[in-house]
Amino acid sequence: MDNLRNINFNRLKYLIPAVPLILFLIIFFLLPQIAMVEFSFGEALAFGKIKHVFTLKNYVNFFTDPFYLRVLLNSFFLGVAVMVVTIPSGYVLAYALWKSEGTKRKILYICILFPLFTNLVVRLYGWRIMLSSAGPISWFFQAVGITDHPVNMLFNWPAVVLGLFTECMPYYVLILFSVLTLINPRYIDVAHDLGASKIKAFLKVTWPLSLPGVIAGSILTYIWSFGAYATPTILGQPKQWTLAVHAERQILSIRDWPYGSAMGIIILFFTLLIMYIQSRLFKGVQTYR
Amino acid sequence: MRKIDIKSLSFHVALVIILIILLSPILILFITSFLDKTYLSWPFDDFTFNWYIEVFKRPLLVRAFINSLIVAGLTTVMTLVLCTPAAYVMSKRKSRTVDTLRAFIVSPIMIPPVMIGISLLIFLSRAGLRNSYFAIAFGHTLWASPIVFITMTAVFERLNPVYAQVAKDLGASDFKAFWKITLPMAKSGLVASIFLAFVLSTQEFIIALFLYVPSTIILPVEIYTCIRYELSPVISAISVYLVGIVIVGLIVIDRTIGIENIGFAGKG
Repeated sequence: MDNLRNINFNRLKYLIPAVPLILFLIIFFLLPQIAMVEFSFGEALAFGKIKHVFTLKNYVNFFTDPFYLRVLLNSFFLGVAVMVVTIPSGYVLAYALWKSEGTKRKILYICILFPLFTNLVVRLYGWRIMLSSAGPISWFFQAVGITDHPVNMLFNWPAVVLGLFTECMPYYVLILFSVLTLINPRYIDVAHDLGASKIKAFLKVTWPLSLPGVIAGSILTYIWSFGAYATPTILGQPKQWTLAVHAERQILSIRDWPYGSAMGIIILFFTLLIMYIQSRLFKGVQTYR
Repeated sequence: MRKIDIKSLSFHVALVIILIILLSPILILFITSFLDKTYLSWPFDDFTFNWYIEVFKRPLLVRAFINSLIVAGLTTVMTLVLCTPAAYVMSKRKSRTVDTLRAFIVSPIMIPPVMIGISLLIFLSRAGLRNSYFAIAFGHTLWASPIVFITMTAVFERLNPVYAQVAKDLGASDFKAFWKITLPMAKSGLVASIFLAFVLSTQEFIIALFLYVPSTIILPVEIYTCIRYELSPVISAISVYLVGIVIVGLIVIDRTIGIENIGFAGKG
């Protein structure tokens, strides 16, 4: 037994330089998550103090509160809405990137990476200007004659979906693109040689082969929209707030850390559940590559 | 023949519309930052550069901007020190252990950033670390590490391993071969990663929102609190400064390793 351990250790010795990073992640990523689980079973006292007991009170309170169940449901639908919008439009962009080369590809790359890296608050502030009643879109509608008074397009569901769509799409495009590049272009040539039209070749060859990318990308889109914080607060009103916003309110404003942690754990639970369902449901698709 | 043209035309129209939607919120910042009024209105015909100077007369914004740079500096150092050796030893390896570790290293980016914020807030308050710049820097290191790790792995995988092997054959230790041969060869990749980590930190906001205290408030959080009350050209101008960091970062990354080699591919 001792011997076996020695062999194992020697085989893994080359990984020693990776230990600091792993340790860092254990201390600042894994342990805090565990601490959050522990907090979620605690009880809040006055002045933000916490009694460390084991109680399911926070979870029971959450799942018996029709208000929060409504919020949970809204977060689900928000994720679905963003996913539905992102899948086709992101595909157009990823497809264009895949088919392009040289300078055109570089320009498309910049168009995708520039918004991806730019601060989320800054981009959402841009949307605030665009959609406000003093913004260019409202001005355009008046100039064309669609309306005769300034229109405010902020603080509703479409605005939140639009914001999340532009937030998630660059990531979706890059994930999908990385799968598209794995497709052997000969398959498509063969389809054409056998008489398939452009659209038929796409539907029968490219689309099924790119499905792993579509799924992985849209799952990420869904998870981020479900757990979105900034977009619902900046482009929406309290009606559009997701569970993540309410978790933040519980922690930073109401200072009920255990209840906020429980909400965080509920978000995490559904995130992991969705990832698990994806890995189960689409196992065949993943190996299809 | 004409039919195909219509299809390709509609594809390109769709592409242009999507790109406009993606880029318009950033372009509008540039345009409105030249607006010669103290509030927002559209259309306008008076242009001014004043706001770009005016922002420096707002001590809160300047303070937040300096804080942002400090946090980004700390994040860059920590991310590079942690990720470079890990990426080096794990590049070109394929085993169960390495795959599991890789999935673990990439996992912080797969969960909503709000979760990292809440859990780190609880953890760092307990550890009494909340009042230093390190609180936000730790959070940002978690955020930047996966992307820098993937990028650095790709950089090391493209290096020719023969040179380091020769050094070892001539009697250099593993560490010396890495320090004297591999690292200098990976210089452009390192420069790209430095800018990548720096940009990622200056542009992150949600984790910072949970972890800041008034003395360590960073620019995105300051902007977030400002835009609740006002939409003004001053905020547009300071936002343009923030966007400027992204532009410089992307140019440097493109010149060193090529913009298409930033490590997002492994995220799926």
